[in-house]
Amino acid sequence: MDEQRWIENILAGDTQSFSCLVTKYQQMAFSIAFRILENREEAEEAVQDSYVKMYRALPTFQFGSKFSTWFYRIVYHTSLSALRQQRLFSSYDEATPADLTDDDIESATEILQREDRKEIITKVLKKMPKDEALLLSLYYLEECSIDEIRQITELTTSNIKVKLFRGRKHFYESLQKIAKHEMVNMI
Amino acid sequence: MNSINQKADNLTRALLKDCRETPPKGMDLKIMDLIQKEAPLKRPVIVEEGYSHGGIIALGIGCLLLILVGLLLLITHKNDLGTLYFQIRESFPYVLSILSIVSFFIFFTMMDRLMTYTK
Repeated sequence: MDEQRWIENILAGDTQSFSCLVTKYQQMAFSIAFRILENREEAEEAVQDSYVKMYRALPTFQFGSKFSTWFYRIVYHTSLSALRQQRLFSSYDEATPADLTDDDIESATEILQREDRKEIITKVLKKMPKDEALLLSLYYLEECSIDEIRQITELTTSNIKVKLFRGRKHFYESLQKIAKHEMVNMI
Repeated sequence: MNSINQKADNLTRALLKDCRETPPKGMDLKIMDLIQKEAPLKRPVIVEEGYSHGGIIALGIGCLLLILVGLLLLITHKNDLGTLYFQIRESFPYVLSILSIVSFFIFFTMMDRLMTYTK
């Protein structure tokens, strides 16, 4: 509800209310841009452009839809333009990977207890294919629903589900590799 | 299968928690600088939709029918206009009440729209 009030203030000419939207969404906007561009400076530029585009398009925003979804869609397309690419996602492959194993879950649970969890996860996300890392961020980090992700990325629902499943599998495999690598180093 | 998926979902959520990329310091200020350079926004002007062509035609036909009915009544009851006058006089309070209610409804609807625009 706060957003509606802020937007109404902005539309009434109060540009200072825009800072509330900046504070609330800058971190996730930067995360999306960074996942796509894989470069902090370029991601920062894309986020700045996205905010200006969003400001200009604000009078056309309909309150019927979720503001965050609408804005993330702008960030997504601006980042893709910066990448000079029309599409981020590779062609749709129907085959789903094997399900997670007990080993995958066990290694991940060990990492959950560690103090350097954040560094490890950041490293793993950087190594993953960017489309999978972006989907994992939107779904697990930002808690976007499948339908919201569909609106942002224009992928089909089944495509999102398959890619999320595959992304999660790759994520756990990478975590397991890290755990094994560290074990070998210790020995 | 579902329980493994649910467990993996919860674990993934816990692992990714607080792992958003931190934006560079001062990015918010840079954004606000760019926004300050933009012209202040104005509330979009919503063009009030008038009656559609179909609506205008229907309204016209309705009015014509009303006039025709009135004329027919006058012609058919030419000889007993006195009776007609008494009949109209009897139903006049009801007609007046309905007309008042409809007028008030239209008036307050218009006022409501006006208030929404000037807010």
